Amino acid sequence: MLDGLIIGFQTAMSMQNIMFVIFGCFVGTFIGMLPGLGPITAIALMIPITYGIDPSSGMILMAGVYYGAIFGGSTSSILINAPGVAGTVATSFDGYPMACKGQAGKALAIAAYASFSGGTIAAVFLLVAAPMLAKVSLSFQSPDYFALLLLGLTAIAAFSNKGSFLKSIMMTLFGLMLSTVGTDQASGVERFTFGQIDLLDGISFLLIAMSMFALSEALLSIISNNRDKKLGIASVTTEVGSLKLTRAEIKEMAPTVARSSVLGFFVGVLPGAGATIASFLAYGMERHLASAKEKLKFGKGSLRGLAAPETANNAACSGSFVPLLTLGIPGSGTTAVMLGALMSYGIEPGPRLFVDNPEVFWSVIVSMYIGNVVLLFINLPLIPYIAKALTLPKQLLTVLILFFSLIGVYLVSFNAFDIFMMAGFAVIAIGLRLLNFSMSPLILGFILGGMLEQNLRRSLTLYDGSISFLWDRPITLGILTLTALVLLMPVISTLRNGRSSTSQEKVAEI
Amino acid sequence: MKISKNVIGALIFFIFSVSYGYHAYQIPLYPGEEYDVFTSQTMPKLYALLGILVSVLAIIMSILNDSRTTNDTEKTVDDFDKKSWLQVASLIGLMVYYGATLEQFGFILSTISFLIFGFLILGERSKKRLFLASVPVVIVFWAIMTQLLGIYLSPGDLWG
Repeated sequence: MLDGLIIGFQTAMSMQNIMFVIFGCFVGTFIGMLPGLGPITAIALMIPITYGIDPSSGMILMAGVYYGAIFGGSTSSILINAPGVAGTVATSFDGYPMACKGQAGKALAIAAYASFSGGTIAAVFLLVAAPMLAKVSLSFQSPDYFALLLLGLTAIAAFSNKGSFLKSIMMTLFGLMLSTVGTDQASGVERFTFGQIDLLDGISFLLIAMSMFALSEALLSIISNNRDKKLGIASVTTEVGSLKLTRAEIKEMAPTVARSSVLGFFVGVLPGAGATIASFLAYGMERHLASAKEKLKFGKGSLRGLAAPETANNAACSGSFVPLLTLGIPGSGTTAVMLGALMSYGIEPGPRLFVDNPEVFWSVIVSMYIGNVVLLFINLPLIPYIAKALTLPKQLLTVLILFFSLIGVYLVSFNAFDIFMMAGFAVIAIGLRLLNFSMSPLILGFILGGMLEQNLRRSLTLYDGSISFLWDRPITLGILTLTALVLLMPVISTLRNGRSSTSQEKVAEI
Repeated sequence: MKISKNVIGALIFFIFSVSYGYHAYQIPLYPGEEYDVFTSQTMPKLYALLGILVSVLAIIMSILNDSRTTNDTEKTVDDFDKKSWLQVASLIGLMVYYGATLEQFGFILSTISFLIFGFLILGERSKKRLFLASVPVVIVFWAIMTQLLGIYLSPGDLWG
């Protein structure tokens, strides 16, 4: 582990990579702050840039963007009560009331300190857990991978909002279906190309990510901006006031931060759970643990109510890297996009990553520490200035985001057909979003589709066409049992009450 | 009878799955491959079947739930105004225009017009802003790409 850490520090601490982390944190904060645009969009916009640099620098940049976007989302949650990221919805419960009381600076400082603590504690866990899990997973074979991929695909649906389970399954299947377009790598047969030469190589992951996230989010922000204007909401506060915290306040929040870090990390590790669930669970836990008097403060500007979700969402971000780096299975939509990027660099994610590309594995872990430091010591003091981004003319920003998304994909393929496809997919994504379908399962299904098919094919070949591979190995059987349990839980719950809760639907829309 | 969003979504997915399944059966196979356990058709057929099953289940569940509850909490498409929709539709049209003209008119001309039309669609009328947010942005981007990074950007087939 020590050797790995040294490799990680050597890679991550190079001047170029430090600059990438700083740049990533800034860009992430800026984009995450814009309501409607989340970390997936921020990362997707960065991918074309990362094609020109080495994979470890690319991953470092994207990790910085991820952290920055979550922090940026907290800023817009606190300042304008419009979370840019679903993972920061719980932040607005107590952050915005604090801003209304003229304590925006204090709320932002708490968010930054809590994020820093949560991120740092979780990065230590990651440092210990990831290599251990990676060593265990080295013994995995194709049937185990097939089972793991099934677990990853079902878990994201199982952890989706109540009542959205079937919708998430549909989106996962849609993503899997899209992944079959193009030439079948094993047999060389064309599938769903409809005679189009441009579809022979399949649909690029970047194109799907950009159109389903960046384009559709930017276009839908036009509708929400106009609606907000009509309703007269979202007045922007760029005067943040003092960022100082008292010793008593820090003492009050310390246990909350410790509890939420542990909770956030472990929720983040679960495939499909991620920052949103972690933040809500941490908020709920803290409220539950609070005294009757303290409980009354929740929702009106409670320090603990703000610190808990902020700590947990950042800890979950680190946690979600565990399945990504060790098993090659993303824990969230954001890490799914990162996985797609890794694959397009020609890197095989999974347990071999730890052995074959230790510099990528370790530099991502180390860059998380650096990212946290950057956010705390550079981003926080600059927040009053970065917050001015919220006052920039939206009409200019929206069109520029459209341009950068389109040209980002075009510069990889140099094929104008991709721009037409992006327009088509953006229309589909808008339709799906209006029907309250979540895009994360789709991207996960799309990215994992190829691996799922490959591993099923290999497993069947290994077992002479018999499906006994499903129960022959204890690991496979164990993972499949877990998958069945994960799958059955929401089915029972859906059959029992079925109806979706309004507040959770709101989260899904973000 | 008002059809809920859930039913509409599931119905669309059902139609899509049926159509996908139909095309899955059209995937060509090599002679004798039909006797193999795993072919190029296997996964598409499986996905189509699962898609049909899940969407039918979703339709049944939604109808059952809708009969039990009212949809007063559900947001409808009517929440959005016509002007916004027109802007979104125009921008999608503009993206198609960009795709069609990028290689014909060349990167610079096509992108400048894309940005200016885009800003105009979203209501920007200040000539100064229209100019500053388009021409310098495109020129700087073009210079970075072609002069600094050596990436080829089409000068335009029409002028070549």
